Amino acid sequence: MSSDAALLEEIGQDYKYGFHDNDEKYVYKSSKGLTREIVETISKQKNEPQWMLERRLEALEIFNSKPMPEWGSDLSEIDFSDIHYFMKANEGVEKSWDDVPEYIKKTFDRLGIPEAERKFLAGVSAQYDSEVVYHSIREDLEKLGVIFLDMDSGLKEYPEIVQKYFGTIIPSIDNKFAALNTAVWSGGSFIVVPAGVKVEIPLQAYFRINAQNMGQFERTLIIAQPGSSVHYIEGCTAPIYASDSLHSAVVELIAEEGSTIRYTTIQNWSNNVFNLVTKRAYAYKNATVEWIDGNLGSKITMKYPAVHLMEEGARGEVLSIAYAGKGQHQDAGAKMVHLAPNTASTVLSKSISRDGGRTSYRGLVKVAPDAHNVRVNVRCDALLLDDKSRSDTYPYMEIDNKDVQVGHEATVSKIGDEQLFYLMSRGLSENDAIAMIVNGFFEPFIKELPMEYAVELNRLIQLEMEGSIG
Amino acid sequence: MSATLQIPVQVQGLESPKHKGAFERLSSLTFPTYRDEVWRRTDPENVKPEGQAVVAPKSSFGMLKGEAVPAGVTLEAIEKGQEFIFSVAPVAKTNLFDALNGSVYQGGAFLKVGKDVSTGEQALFVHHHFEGKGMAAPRSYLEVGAGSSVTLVEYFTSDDPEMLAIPSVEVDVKAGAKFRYVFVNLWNNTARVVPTVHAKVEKDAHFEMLFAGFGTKLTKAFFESDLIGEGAKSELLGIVLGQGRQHYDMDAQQNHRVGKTVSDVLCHVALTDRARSVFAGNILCEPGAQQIDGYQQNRNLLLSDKARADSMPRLEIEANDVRCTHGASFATYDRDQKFYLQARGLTAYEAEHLLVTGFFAAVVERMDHEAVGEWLAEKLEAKMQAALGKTK
Repeated sequence: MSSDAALLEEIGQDYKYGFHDNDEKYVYKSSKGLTREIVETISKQKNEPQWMLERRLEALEIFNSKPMPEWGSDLSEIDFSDIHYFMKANEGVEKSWDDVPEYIKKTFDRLGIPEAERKFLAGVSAQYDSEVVYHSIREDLEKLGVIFLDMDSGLKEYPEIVQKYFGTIIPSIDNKFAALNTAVWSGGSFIVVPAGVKVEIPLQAYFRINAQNMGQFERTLIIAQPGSSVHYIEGCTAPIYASDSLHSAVVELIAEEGSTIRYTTIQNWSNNVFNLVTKRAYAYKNATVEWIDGNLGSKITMKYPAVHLMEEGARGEVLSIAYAGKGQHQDAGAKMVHLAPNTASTVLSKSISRDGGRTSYRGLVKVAPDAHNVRVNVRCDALLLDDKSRSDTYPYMEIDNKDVQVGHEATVSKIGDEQLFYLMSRGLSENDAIAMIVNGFFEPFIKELPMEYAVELNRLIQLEMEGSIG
Repeated sequence: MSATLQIPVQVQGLESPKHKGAFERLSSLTFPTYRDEVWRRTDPENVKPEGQAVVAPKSSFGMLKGEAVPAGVTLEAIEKGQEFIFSVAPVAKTNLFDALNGSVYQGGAFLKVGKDVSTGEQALFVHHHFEGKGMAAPRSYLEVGAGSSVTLVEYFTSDDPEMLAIPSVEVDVKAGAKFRYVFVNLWNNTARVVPTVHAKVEKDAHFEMLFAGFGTKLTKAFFESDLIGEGAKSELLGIVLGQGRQHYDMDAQQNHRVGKTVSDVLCHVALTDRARSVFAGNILCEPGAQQIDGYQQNRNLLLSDKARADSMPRLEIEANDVRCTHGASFATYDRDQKFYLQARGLTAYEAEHLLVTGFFAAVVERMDHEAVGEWLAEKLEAKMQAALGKTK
């Protein structure tokens, strides 16, 4: 065993970011439970325009009227009356890192945000609990005219843009959790990339859930105007808590003609979080949308990033990995909705289940009647590392047009005896051989990440694999 | 017996049910709605019984080409084998239509094959024809004894354009036996049919079923196999041709109850006009069922702009030493192939006919039974000509 592996063993199964602040310092913290008053208070606290309050209240009605989904994972443990729907860590949004309160900074230091900033990463939008407390935009981004704000500031500074697009991709009526998010959303990112601007560096935001029983309902809207391109990275880490937490985000992407949006997520919530996220993109003429989606943490994740291919030449891509260890269920997938001719999409999903974990691929491919000359390729590979774990594949294909090429392939297997035998005959221990095979299995995903993330992810995977191989 | 059904189903004969357990099961069920996952793509309202009388079929039992039935084979009307009903599918778990069938069935086949009997190049043959108006609820129980190798064709036709048919079939393939079962849906182009076929496959046994779905306005089929002994194999082959506004919805469930078992599903669907198909396959590997080989493939050939095919090939795996794969593909016939054939002097119709014939032959040939293959080709030719528009 290498010295690295020994070090990892010493760390053991402890969660990498398993720390949290001892005293919770909040300027405002809502009482538990969801009522009309809470929603009104959230809106008032944020000094929102009337139309947003109306949206929130309408969404609350929809949330209350929709039944809990009965498919996918078991969500019966969620107690909506036992969640804080809003808290505000400090007043307003800080412009400079120096103004960020020390105790918050300390937490972010350990998450490596200043480090990331030194490495000339773009604007850092660090969400502490519900609201963005720190937000810096590099000068060159401002010069390009790129808007990169937290969603609350976006609403204040660009109310007409927000009003025009908010909830157009994912309306409240879409599903129960989209309605919940619309009713109580707080934080998230608001990005507008002007026509023709290519943002060379990835924009990134860190989110974390901090307070016990704290729901996190961030709302993100990204608009790429014609011919522009942007890569947004969302990385999640969260401290461990004893009771269950709910994370329910809504992410809306609009890729206008000829633009490209890549949205990368590394989800590593602690193993008590319900992660129920709605993500959808509209890709217009010749636009490309790519969801790069890594699901490693959480207790239950239900997330199916979608691309609606609205006009000719649009392309959609989902590249996802999922890892489920003890007590985890990753119910993830992708939806590709082809509404226009000459569109193409690709889905590559890879999952590993270990130690009683369960991974499910649940995906939809839909081709509308008028969408001819469509090409779709879906591939799902699953590895089961022991006989306690489970893997499911639930693909849905609805094809309404004859002029299509749709392929779907899935495999579920264990690590091949021949592969192991070959590596071990070259002198590797069984554990090292398994780790190498797992790394290779996730390789197509990892190589799409910026280097810092790839390094971090490799380390996370190593930590996760440790229990089974160390 | 006091009938307190929760289902809004009216069928004559329910007041004196034939099978007590089936009736109790039926009483415990509510009629499905389109909100149930299984019925999301086929509205159950379209197949709701509405007070029809159950009609008995005129059935013939024998061999495909009129030969004598081999010694050791019992093949007659289901009434002789009533004691075996629900011995394969536990009655407490059956679906509503199977429970309804068990309560009111009339007609169907009872097959019992002893040990080490073979039909060789020949095949057993059952034809049920339903005359007059009403609901068809034939029930078949098919048992093939240890070490036997048997082929059976069961074939359904009807006169009534409004026919609602809910055939149920139970299959028991004993250790080491091979049973080739060809289930042919030729009711008529306006019938609505909900067939349920449930098979139990024992150690080292091999069940090979071919479903031919040609005709019927609406089919919602439930096929399920339980692999209960090591070395068991279940193959489900399907060929479906839809035309007009015909609707086919097939549910293929392969349950690997123990390890060292194999399942293989291959379903080829060709659709013209506004026809629609749904394929929902599922390979279930129970915990501890190691060394499983499961495969399912659904290929759809869409011959018109308005045709639609949905495919949901699922896997539910709770064992790790498995090799499970599935695939689904959608394509029109290869245009180059059609062009090539037309360049050789074939008409557009002839070229399409040849390509679709080849598309189905890839499935039928897997069955590897010449006499049955020829018989099928002959039966299907008229349907092919109509669907591909020879007369248009």
